[in-house]
Amino acid sequence: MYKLSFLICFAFLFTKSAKSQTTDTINLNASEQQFSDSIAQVNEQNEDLKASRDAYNEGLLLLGTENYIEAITHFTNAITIDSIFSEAYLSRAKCYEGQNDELAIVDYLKAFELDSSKVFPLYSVAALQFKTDKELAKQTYSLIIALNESEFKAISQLGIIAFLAKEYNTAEQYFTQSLAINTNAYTLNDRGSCYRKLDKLDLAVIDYLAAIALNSDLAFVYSNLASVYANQGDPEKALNYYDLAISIDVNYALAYNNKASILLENKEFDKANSAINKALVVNPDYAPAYNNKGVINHQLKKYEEAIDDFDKAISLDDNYAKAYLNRGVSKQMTRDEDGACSDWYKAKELGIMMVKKYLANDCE
Amino acid sequence: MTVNNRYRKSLLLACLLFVTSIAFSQDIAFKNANFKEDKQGLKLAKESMAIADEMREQGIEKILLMQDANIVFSQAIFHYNKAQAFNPNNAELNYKIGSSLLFTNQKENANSYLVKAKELSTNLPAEFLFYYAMALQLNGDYTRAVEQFEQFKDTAKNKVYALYEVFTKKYIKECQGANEVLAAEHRIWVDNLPINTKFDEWSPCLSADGELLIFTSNQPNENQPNEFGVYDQDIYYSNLNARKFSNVLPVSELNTKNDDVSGGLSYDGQRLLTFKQEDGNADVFESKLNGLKWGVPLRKMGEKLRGGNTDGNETFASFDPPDVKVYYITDGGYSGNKNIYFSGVMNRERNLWGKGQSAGHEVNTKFQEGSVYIHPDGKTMYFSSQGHNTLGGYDIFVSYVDDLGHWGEPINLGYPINTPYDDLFYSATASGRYAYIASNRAGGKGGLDIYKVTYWGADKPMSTDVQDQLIASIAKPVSDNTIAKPIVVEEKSLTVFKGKVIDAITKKPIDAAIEIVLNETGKIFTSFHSNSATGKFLLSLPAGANYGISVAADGYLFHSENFDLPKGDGFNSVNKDIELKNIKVGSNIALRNVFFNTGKWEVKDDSYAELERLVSLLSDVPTLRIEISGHTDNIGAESFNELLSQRRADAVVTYLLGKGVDKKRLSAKGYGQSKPVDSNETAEGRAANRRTEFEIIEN
Repeated sequence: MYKLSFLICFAFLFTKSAKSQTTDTINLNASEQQFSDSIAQVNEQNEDLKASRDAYNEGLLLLGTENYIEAITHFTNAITIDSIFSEAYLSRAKCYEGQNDELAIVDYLKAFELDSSKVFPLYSVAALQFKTDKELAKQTYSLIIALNESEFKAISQLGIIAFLAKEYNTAEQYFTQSLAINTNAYTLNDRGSCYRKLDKLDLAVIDYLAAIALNSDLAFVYSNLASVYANQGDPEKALNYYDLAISIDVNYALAYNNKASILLENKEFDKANSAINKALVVNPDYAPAYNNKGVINHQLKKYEEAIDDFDKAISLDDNYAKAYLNRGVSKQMTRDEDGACSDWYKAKELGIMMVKKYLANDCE
Repeated sequence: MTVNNRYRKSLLLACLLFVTSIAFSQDIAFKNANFKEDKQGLKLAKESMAIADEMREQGIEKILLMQDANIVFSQAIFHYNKAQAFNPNNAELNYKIGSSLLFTNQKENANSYLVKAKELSTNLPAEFLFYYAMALQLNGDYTRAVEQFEQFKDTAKNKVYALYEVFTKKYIKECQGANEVLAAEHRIWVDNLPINTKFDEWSPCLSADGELLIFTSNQPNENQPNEFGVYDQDIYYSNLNARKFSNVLPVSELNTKNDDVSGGLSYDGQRLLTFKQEDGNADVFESKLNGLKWGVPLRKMGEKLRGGNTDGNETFASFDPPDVKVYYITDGGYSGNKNIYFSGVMNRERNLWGKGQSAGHEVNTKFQEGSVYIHPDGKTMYFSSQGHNTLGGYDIFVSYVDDLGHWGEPINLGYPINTPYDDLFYSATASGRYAYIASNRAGGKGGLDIYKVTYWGADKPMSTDVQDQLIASIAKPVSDNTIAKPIVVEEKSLTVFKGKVIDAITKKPIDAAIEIVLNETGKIFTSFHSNSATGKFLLSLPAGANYGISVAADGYLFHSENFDLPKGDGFNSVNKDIELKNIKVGSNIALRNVFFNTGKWEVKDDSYAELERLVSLLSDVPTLRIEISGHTDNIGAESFNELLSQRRADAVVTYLLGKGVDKKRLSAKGYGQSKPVDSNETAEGRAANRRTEFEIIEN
């Protein structure tokens, strides 16, 4: 509509200009005067429009250089001039994201209000709501779907929300619904994880393999599949897929750590150590790797070193219940019974109830 | 020959002579020619040796008759040492000392004397090989030990070998089986206790909760040592503090000038079995803890020479959980050796016990059994023996009873509980996690020492951490929350129930009768009293039954508990104080936790806990009527004190009325300073007199 108006204005301006060259001195009658006034009004409006667009364009430049605060100023100017400039709301919202999510949400919603044919602002709103209020995010995704039931991404997101709420059956249904519209590796991965949580490991394997078939570059899918094989009691396959995950992403600390866990169970302590060390090279602050390293050292009867490893894990996460549990066991082997009991009390406080037995038998 | 060559040759010769002189030190005989300067010293040394020789011979006779000879060998060594101080380089003397030491609690010192004897002379008696082999066995040099035993067998004259044949064969078998016993992995720590001294500490007796340790020691005491410088055995105790036994005190009321030896402690720590010599033989005695003092020991298992008592020696004994039998060591049985027997009570009031019965051929051997202990679970026997497959000397074994009451094949507890030395006694906590033994193994503080055995128990598994990126769009990994489950192994199915019986108001300990009934059958499982001084009680209840526990004391409301312990329930420990409510008419109970400001009668806030207990008592026993009485010291005017005490008594009654107690059950009286309970001359006495009491006037 604005484009049309602009063309009309341009046409008028051109005509006026053309005419003015030949009729500079023509006196206008009433209707002509009225027409001339409306042209002047349009010209004025066009100037505003231009100013608004100029401000918007400057804002875009600043947004591009991540100069958010100044960009916001320009977008605000654009909006002040033209309060129905939806693109300006969108861009300003992007600037607000991370600084003030509430304002970002307001702008996205405004943008959607101005042009409800585009639902992507609602996706942005939902993504922001997801961080703090999953219920609200759920409502927004549901709205997107109500507007268009083919919005498979929104359906997937509802699945993720259900997954995080541990409603795995519901999550599985959403993922299936989404996949029926659009089959993609990410949603297949997510549904595979649902099946894993539901202990339907065979179905999990099928989905992970299907995800890989669609996109063979997702290291985490290989790793997830490996973990399922590990749970199924097939350490060889598990190790194979962890290696594949690592071959795709040589900095995938999770895969190194998980691989070490399998090797440890197989009592291949040297290889386990090697894998753990690689995890720690990639991520020197990876607490689970320190925990597992401590377990390896404990199995090798290197109790002091094991305690050092658990110390490190706890220093990275002072609520690391498993590390307290394990450290207590190692401390007991160094005859530090007081230290062992103290660690087990802490593990119990953090929710590991099985230490009650250790406390009853060994500490009380 | 050049000067340098000559010099080198002389040096070589000198070195050779020096080495030879070391390798073949001279065996210096006890002869005048060798001690011209000190003939008197020689005479005394020879006299000492003669005395020692006689004792040594006695000792050897005892050993060959399967009897303990620790004392006589120790006495022989006492005399030998006098000769040794005079002349330490006599092969025969070193041999005799070394061989004697092998039968004492200082056997770790034997090897050095035997080695020296060997170095001093090659002309030693054939038996030397036997004793040297024993020393090698003690050192864990089993292969060489077997070689020496075999050589003894091959070289000794038949008459000599015949005397030692049984032992030679036994010790060879021990050496050959040692590697198998040692190879078994045992998840155990064995620690020397801080309470040990250079003297003997032995016969540890532990209460089932592991908090009281009673033991025997010949460390210096109030009595005079004997001519050998050895003190008599006395009984000591120590209470667990911060997981350690550190403070040791004598059980004075049980110790005499003669040997007093602890035998076995009841699981609740209230009764102690000892043994003592009377008229030429030893019998088992029992002493009961009355409050804080042990009572006079009375003969257990019947009168002298009756029931379980023989004309032999009944010594180390153990209670069994139902307190129906006593297991003990006696040499008054058929074999004449020290074996394990048991006697069952027939009539406790009249102290009538059955004749001693052997614990069975599976546990008893033709060698000596040294000690016996029945675990609180009633199904496990720990005993020490020189027979079976020991590593050497006494070892500790475990045997389990079947449903028919037969004790099964013993299992050697293995290293590090057992060693080639003497490892005896065993007393454990009900949980089985800790036990205490005695041993004269090398590396101790001297003689027999008490060691604490800690069982690691089942492997405590480690929990690894695996993480996954379960949701593609969420980068934060999710941990696997699985905690590795502990390995379930068969463990003692027992519950230890312990605590104190106390007055509900005053919290003072009560001597209460406690009876345990098996609810399914209505039969009494056991009955006993809580300690009158401390109110403490302790009992072990095997799993697989529902128990009713009744607690009764004169003047108190009856109390009951229920314990349902399904089979396979594992070990549990329940610590609970049982409060009994006083209901005896005429009882006067001081409310020591009811407070007022000086000269005032408003009840202070910190009195409410005590008053609530009183409310609770009145609620539980609706028939009680009480008088609340106020009392003061003698400071201030008598009339004021009377008024103050009345107002205070009224204030307590007002509180009780406010809590819903019927006013017909309450009365208040102020006695002022007219009824002191202590002297008003002292501050403490005056404080005791300032009190609020209640008296039960009707029930």
